[in-house]
Amino acid sequence: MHEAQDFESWVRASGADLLRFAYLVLHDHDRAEEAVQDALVAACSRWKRISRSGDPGPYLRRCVINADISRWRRFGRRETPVADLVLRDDAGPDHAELYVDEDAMWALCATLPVKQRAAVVLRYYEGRQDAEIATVLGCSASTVRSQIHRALATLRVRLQTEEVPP
Amino acid sequence: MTDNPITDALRRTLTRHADDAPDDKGLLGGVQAGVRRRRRQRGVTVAAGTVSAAVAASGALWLSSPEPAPVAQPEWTTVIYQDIQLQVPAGWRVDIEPSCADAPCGLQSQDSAAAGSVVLEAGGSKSLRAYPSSGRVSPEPPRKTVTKTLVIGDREIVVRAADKAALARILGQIRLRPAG
Repeated sequence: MHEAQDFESWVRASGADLLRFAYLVLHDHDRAEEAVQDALVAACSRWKRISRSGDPGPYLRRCVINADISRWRRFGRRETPVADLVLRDDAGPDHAELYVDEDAMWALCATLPVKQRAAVVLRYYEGRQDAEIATVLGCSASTVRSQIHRALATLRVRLQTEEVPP
Repeated sequence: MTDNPITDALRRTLTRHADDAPDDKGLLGGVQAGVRRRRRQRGVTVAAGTVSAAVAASGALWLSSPEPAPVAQPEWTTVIYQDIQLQVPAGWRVDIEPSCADAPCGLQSQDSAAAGSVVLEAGGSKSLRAYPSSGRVSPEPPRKTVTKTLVIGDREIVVRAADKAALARILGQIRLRPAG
Protein backbone atom coordinates (compact mmCIF):
# COMPACT_ATOMS: atom_id res chain seq x y z
CA MET A 1 0.00 0.00 0.00
CA HIS A 2 1.48 3.31 -1.05
CA GLU A 3 0.55 5.14 2.13
CA ALA A 4 2.16 2.49 4.36
CA GLN A 5 5.31 2.48 2.26
CA ASP A 6 5.49 6.24 2.49
CA PHE A 7 5.35 6.10 6.29
CA GLU A 8 7.90 3.32 6.49
CA SER A 9 10.20 5.13 4.10
CA TRP A 10 10.03 8.24 6.22
CA VAL A 11 10.78 6.32 9.41
CA ARG A 12 13.76 4.61 7.79
CA ALA A 13 15.09 7.89 6.43
CA SER A 14 14.37 10.22 9.33
CA GLY A 15 13.81 8.06 12.38
CA ALA A 16 17.38 8.48 13.55
CA ASP A 17 17.10 12.29 13.40
CA LEU A 18 13.90 12.13 15.38
CA LEU A 19 15.55 9.95 18.00
CA ARG A 20 18.48 12.36 18.25
CA PHE A 21 16.09 15.28 18.71
CA ALA A 22 14.18 13.36 21.37
CA TYR A 23 17.35 12.39 23.20
CA LEU A 24 18.76 15.91 23.17
CA VAL A 25 15.52 17.28 24.57
CA LEU A 26 14.69 14.52 27.03
CA HIS A 27 18.23 13.59 28.11
CA ASP A 28 17.27 9.96 28.55
CA HIS A 29 17.55 6.98 26.19
CA ASP A 30 14.40 5.19 27.31
CA ARG A 31 12.30 8.32 27.40
CA ALA A 32 13.47 9.28 23.95
CA GLU A 33 12.69 5.87 22.46
CA GLU A 34 9.26 5.72 24.11
CA ALA A 35 8.32 9.23 23.05
CA VAL A 36 9.39 8.68 19.45
CA GLN A 37 7.63 5.34 19.25
CA ASP A 38 4.43 6.74 20.78
CA ALA A 39 4.51 9.68 18.37
CA LEU A 40 5.05 7.50 15.31
CA VAL A 41 2.40 4.95 16.31
CA ALA A 42 -0.11 7.77 16.68
CA ALA A 43 0.98 9.39 13.42
CA CYS A 44 0.78 6.20 11.36
CA SER A 45 -3.00 6.23 11.07
CA ARG A 46 -2.97 9.92 10.08
CA TRP A 47 0.05 9.71 7.82
CA LYS A 48 -1.75 10.65 4.64
CA ARG A 49 -2.93 13.93 6.11
CA ILE A 50 0.35 14.64 7.87
CA SER A 51 2.53 14.07 4.83
CA ARG A 52 0.20 16.00 2.57
CA SER A 53 0.79 19.24 4.45
CA GLY A 54 4.54 19.24 3.90
CA ASP A 55 7.56 18.02 5.83
CA PRO A 56 6.30 15.79 8.66
CA GLY A 57 9.45 16.54 10.69
CA PRO A 58 8.23 19.57 12.68
CA TYR A 59 4.85 17.96 13.32
CA LEU A 60 6.46 14.77 14.59
CA ARG A 61 8.86 16.65 16.81
CA ARG A 62 5.87 18.31 18.41
CA CYS A 63 4.25 14.88 18.80
CA VAL A 64 7.40 13.59 20.49
CA ILE A 65 7.32 16.40 23.05
CA ASN A 66 3.60 15.93 23.66
CA ALA A 67 3.97 12.15 23.88
CA ASP A 68 6.58 12.55 26.59
CA ILE A 69 4.49 15.04 28.51
CA SER A 70 1.46 12.71 28.28
CA ARG A 71 3.45 9.73 29.43
CA TRP A 72 4.81 11.60 32.40
CA ARG A 73 1.38 12.82 33.37
CA ARG A 74 -0.05 9.32 33.01
CA PHE A 75 2.51 7.90 35.37
CA GLY A 76 2.25 10.79 37.80
CA ARG A 77 5.81 11.91 37.25
CA ARG A 78 6.74 15.49 37.00
CA GLU A 79 9.84 17.35 36.10
CA THR A 80 11.63 19.14 38.87
CA PRO A 81 10.89 22.83 38.44
CA VAL A 82 13.96 24.89 37.83
CA ALA A 83 13.24 27.07 40.84
CA ASP A 84 13.50 24.11 43.20
CA LEU A 85 17.07 23.37 42.27
CA VAL A 86 19.77 24.67 44.52
CA LEU A 87 22.68 26.20 42.71
CA ARG A 88 25.82 24.78 44.11
CA ASP A 89 29.22 26.20 43.59
CA ASP A 90 31.51 23.22 43.18
CA ALA A 91 34.42 25.57 42.70
CA GLY A 92 37.79 23.93 42.86
CA PRO A 93 41.16 25.43 42.19
CA ASP A 94 40.63 25.36 38.40
CA HIS A 95 37.30 27.05 38.55
CA ALA A 96 38.87 30.50 38.61
CA GLU A 97 38.69 30.79 34.83
CA LEU A 98 35.47 31.52 33.06
CA TYR A 99 35.07 28.19 31.36
CA VAL A 100 32.01 26.75 29.83
CA ASP A 101 32.34 23.09 30.48
CA GLU A 102 30.35 20.97 28.06
CA ASP A 103 29.33 18.46 30.66
CA ALA A 104 28.15 21.27 32.89
CA MET A 105 26.24 22.73 29.95
CA TRP A 106 24.61 19.36 29.27
CA ALA A 107 23.62 18.98 32.92
CA LEU A 108 22.28 22.54 33.04
CA CYS A 109 20.24 22.05 29.88
CA ALA A 110 18.49 19.20 31.65
CA THR A 111 17.24 21.65 34.25
CA LEU A 112 15.44 23.81 31.70
CA PRO A 113 11.69 23.32 31.16
CA VAL A 114 11.09 20.91 28.29
CA LYS A 115 9.87 23.53 25.82
CA GLN A 116 12.89 25.74 26.43
CA ARG A 117 15.11 22.74 25.93
CA ALA A 118 13.30 21.89 22.72
CA ALA A 119 13.68 25.47 21.50
CA VAL A 120 17.39 25.42 22.25
CA VAL A 121 17.90 22.07 20.49
CA LEU A 122 15.93 23.17 17.46
CA ARG A 123 17.89 26.42 17.21
CA TYR A 124 21.43 25.41 18.16
CA TYR A 125 21.56 21.81 17.04
CA GLU A 126 19.12 21.56 14.16
CA GLY A 127 19.66 25.16 13.05
CA ARG A 128 15.95 25.83 12.51
CA GLN A 129 14.47 29.28 12.11
CA ASP A 130 12.05 30.81 14.59
CA ALA A 131 9.03 30.13 12.39
CA GLU A 132 9.84 26.42 12.15
CA ILE A 133 10.51 26.23 15.88
CA ALA A 134 7.16 27.94 16.45
CA THR A 135 5.46 25.18 14.43
CA VAL A 136 7.07 22.51 16.57
CA LEU A 137 6.27 24.20 19.86
CA GLY A 138 2.82 25.32 18.81
CA CYS A 139 3.43 28.95 19.63
CA SER A 140 4.32 32.21 17.92
CA ALA A 141 7.78 33.14 16.66
CA SER A 142 8.02 35.85 19.31
CA THR A 143 7.33 33.27 22.00
CA VAL A 144 10.12 31.16 20.55
CA ARG A 145 12.53 34.08 20.85
CA SER A 146 11.38 34.66 24.39
CA GLN A 147 11.83 30.98 25.29
CA ILE A 148 15.35 30.94 23.90
CA HIS A 149 16.21 34.22 25.58
CA ARG A 150 15.05 32.85 28.92
CA ALA A 151 16.92 29.60 28.42
CA LEU A 152 20.16 31.41 27.65
CA ALA A 153 19.67 33.75 30.58
CA THR A 154 19.21 30.78 32.90
CA LEU A 155 22.27 29.03 31.55
CA ARG A 156 24.32 32.21 31.80
CA VAL A 157 23.43 32.76 35.42
CA ARG A 158 24.24 29.21 36.36
CA LEU A 159 27.51 29.10 34.54
CA GLN A 160 28.70 32.42 35.84
CA THR A 161 31.51 32.23 38.32
CA GLU A 162 33.16 34.75 40.58
CA GLU A 163 35.51 37.04 38.79
CA VAL A 164 39.14 36.32 39.45
CA PRO A 165 41.18 39.41 40.23
CA PRO A 166 44.14 39.93 37.87
CA MET B 1 29.62 37.63 29.55
CA THR B 2 28.01 37.62 26.15
CA ASP B 3 25.81 34.98 24.67
CA ASN B 4 28.50 33.76 22.30
CA PRO B 5 30.38 31.52 24.72
CA ILE B 6 27.05 30.13 25.84
CA THR B 7 25.68 29.49 22.39
CA ASP B 8 28.99 28.11 21.17
CA ALA B 9 29.10 25.78 24.12
CA LEU B 10 25.51 24.81 23.47
CA ARG B 11 26.30 23.86 19.90
CA ARG B 12 29.34 21.84 20.91
CA THR B 13 27.50 20.14 23.74
CA LEU B 14 24.50 19.20 21.68
CA THR B 15 26.61 17.96 18.77
CA ARG B 16 28.72 15.83 21.07
CA HIS B 17 25.76 14.35 22.93
CA ALA B 18 23.80 13.67 19.75
CA ASP B 19 26.22 10.80 19.15
CA ASP B 20 24.93 9.22 22.36
CA ALA B 21 21.34 9.13 21.11
CA PRO B 22 19.69 5.71 20.75
CA ASP B 23 20.01 4.19 17.28
CA ASP B 24 17.05 3.52 15.06
CA LYS B 25 17.68 -0.19 14.43
CA GLY B 26 14.55 -1.43 16.16
CA LEU B 27 12.48 1.71 15.65
CA LEU B 28 10.38 0.68 12.66
CA GLY B 29 9.71 -2.78 14.09
CA GLY B 30 8.67 -1.27 17.40
CA VAL B 31 6.37 1.20 15.69
CA GLN B 32 4.75 -1.52 13.58
CA ALA B 33 4.17 -3.63 16.69
CA GLY B 34 2.65 -0.62 18.41
CA VAL B 35 0.34 0.03 15.48
CA ARG B 36 -0.84 -3.59 15.51
CA ARG B 37 -1.39 -3.44 19.27
CA ARG B 38 -3.42 -0.27 18.90
CA ARG B 39 -5.59 -1.79 16.17
CA ARG B 40 -6.25 -4.85 18.32
CA GLN B 41 -7.24 -2.66 21.30
CA ARG B 42 -9.54 -0.61 19.10
CA GLY B 43 -11.12 -3.81 17.81
CA VAL B 44 -11.88 -4.92 21.34
CA THR B 45 -13.34 -1.52 22.19
CA VAL B 46 -15.55 -1.51 19.10
CA ALA B 47 -16.72 -5.05 19.82
CA ALA B 48 -17.55 -4.15 23.40
CA GLY B 49 -19.44 -1.10 22.19
CA THR B 50 -21.37 -3.20 19.70
CA VAL B 51 -22.36 -5.65 22.39
CA SER B 52 -23.42 -2.81 24.69
CA ALA B 53 -25.49 -1.23 21.93
CA ALA B 54 -27.17 -4.56 21.21
CA VAL B 55 -28.05 -5.05 24.85
CA ALA B 56 -29.45 -1.53 25.13
CA ALA B 57 -31.49 -1.92 21.96
CA SER B 58 -33.11 -5.11 23.22
CA GLY B 59 -34.39 -3.27 26.28
CA ALA B 60 -31.95 -4.25 28.94
CA LEU B 61 -33.61 -5.35 32.17
CA TRP B 62 -31.83 -4.77 35.43
CA LEU B 63 -32.41 -8.14 36.95
CA SER B 64 -30.20 -7.74 39.92
CA SER B 65 -28.51 -4.46 39.41
CA PRO B 66 -26.74 -2.83 42.31
CA GLU B 67 -27.22 0.56 40.63
CA PRO B 68 -29.46 3.07 42.29
CA ALA B 69 -32.94 3.43 40.85
CA PRO B 70 -33.00 5.96 38.06
CA VAL B 71 -34.87 9.16 38.59
CA ALA B 72 -38.20 8.68 36.85
CA GLN B 73 -38.40 10.91 33.83
CA PRO B 74 -41.71 12.50 32.85
CA GLU B 75 -42.05 10.00 30.03
CA TRP B 76 -42.07 7.03 32.41
CA THR B 77 -44.57 5.70 34.90
CA THR B 78 -42.83 4.06 37.81
CA VAL B 79 -44.65 1.47 39.85
CA ILE B 80 -43.36 -0.38 42.85
CA TYR B 81 -45.30 -3.52 43.54
CA GLN B 82 -44.27 -6.28 45.88
CA ASP B 83 -40.62 -5.17 45.97
CA ILE B 84 -40.32 -4.96 42.24
CA GLN B 85 -39.93 -1.63 40.52
CA LEU B 86 -41.52 -1.47 37.10
CA GLN B 87 -41.16 1.43 34.73
CA VAL B 88 -43.40 1.67 31.72
CA PRO B 89 -43.92 4.42 29.17
CA ALA B 90 -46.13 7.15 30.58
CA GLY B 91 -48.97 6.35 28.19
CA TRP B 92 -49.49 2.89 29.63
CA ARG B 93 -52.23 1.88 32.03
CA VAL B 94 -51.43 0.17 35.24
CA ASP B 95 -54.16 -1.79 37.05
CA ILE B 96 -54.40 -4.05 40.04
CA GLU B 97 -56.54 -6.99 39.04
CA PRO B 98 -57.61 -10.32 40.39
CA SER B 99 -54.89 -12.82 39.70
CA CYS B 100 -55.35 -15.28 36.87
CA ALA B 101 -53.66 -18.59 36.29
CA ASP B 102 -52.33 -18.43 32.76
CA ALA B 103 -54.42 -16.24 30.53
CA PRO B 104 -55.15 -12.59 31.05
CA CYS B 105 -58.53 -12.10 32.66
CA GLY B 106 -60.84 -9.44 33.93
CA LEU B 107 -61.04 -6.16 32.17
CA GLN B 108 -58.44 -5.85 29.60
CA SER B 109 -58.00 -3.27 26.93
CA GLN B 110 -58.04 -4.33 23.36
CA ASP B 111 -54.70 -2.69 23.06
CA SER B 112 -53.25 -4.84 25.79
CA ALA B 113 -54.48 -7.88 24.01
CA ALA B 114 -52.99 -6.63 20.78
CA ALA B 115 -49.90 -4.89 22.11
CA GLY B 116 -49.34 -7.07 25.16
CA SER B 117 -49.07 -6.58 28.89
CA VAL B 118 -46.79 -7.01 31.81
CA VAL B 119 -48.18 -8.87 34.79
CA LEU B 120 -46.58 -8.95 38.20
CA GLU B 121 -47.99 -11.87 40.14
CA ALA B 122 -47.53 -11.42 43.84
CA GLY B 123 -48.64 -14.86 44.85
CA GLY B 124 -51.84 -13.55 46.37
CA SER B 125 -55.22 -12.78 44.99
CA LYS B 126 -54.17 -9.67 43.16
CA SER B 127 -51.71 -8.97 40.43
CA LEU B 128 -50.48 -5.82 38.75
CA ARG B 129 -50.99 -5.45 35.07
CA ALA B 130 -49.45 -2.78 32.92
CA TYR B 131 -50.21 -2.32 29.27
CA PRO B 132 -50.29 0.26 26.51
CA SER B 133 -53.71 1.80 26.52
CA SER B 134 -55.89 3.49 23.98
CA GLY B 135 -58.83 3.57 26.40
CA ARG B 136 -60.87 0.88 24.69
CA VAL B 137 -61.87 -2.03 26.84
CA SER B 138 -62.83 -5.51 25.85
CA PRO B 139 -63.85 -8.14 28.33
CA GLU B 140 -62.67 -10.91 26.10
CA PRO B 141 -59.26 -12.38 26.60
CA PRO B 142 -57.07 -12.78 23.52
CA ARG B 143 -57.22 -16.12 21.80
CA LYS B 144 -53.51 -16.52 21.48
CA THR B 145 -50.64 -15.08 23.45
CA VAL B 146 -46.89 -15.29 23.52
CA THR B 147 -45.37 -15.07 26.95
CA LYS B 148 -42.01 -14.57 28.52
CA THR B 149 -41.42 -14.99 32.22
CA LEU B 150 -38.79 -12.90 33.88
CA VAL B 151 -37.50 -13.58 37.35
CA ILE B 152 -36.29 -10.94 39.77
CA GLY B 153 -35.32 -12.39 43.09
CA ASP B 154 -38.16 -14.74 43.90
CA ARG B 155 -40.72 -12.81 41.89
CA GLU B 156 -41.99 -13.80 38.51
CA ILE B 157 -43.03 -11.24 35.99
CA VAL B 158 -45.02 -12.49 33.04
CA VAL B 159 -44.92 -10.52 29.85
CA ARG B 160 -47.67 -11.38 27.40
CA ALA B 161 -48.33 -10.29 23.88
CA ALA B 162 -50.28 -11.38 20.85
CA ASP B 163 -47.14 -12.25 18.93
CA LYS B 164 -43.39 -12.31 19.18
CA ALA B 165 -42.99 -8.90 17.60
CA ALA B 166 -45.32 -7.34 20.13
CA LEU B 167 -43.51 -9.21 22.90
CA ALA B 168 -40.18 -7.83 21.73
CA ARG B 169 -41.66 -4.33 21.61
CA ILE B 170 -42.92 -4.58 25.16
CA LEU B 171 -39.64 -5.97 26.41
CA GLY B 172 -37.94 -3.04 24.74
CA GLN B 173 -40.20 -0.55 26.45
CA ILE B 174 -40.25 -1.62 30.06
CA ARG B 175 -37.71 -1.49 32.84
CA LEU B 176 -37.70 -3.85 35.80
CA ARG B 177 -35.52 -3.94 38.87
CA PRO B 178 -35.72 -4.85 42.51
CA ALA B 179 -37.33 -2.01 44.42
CA GLY B 180 -35.36 -0.20 47.07
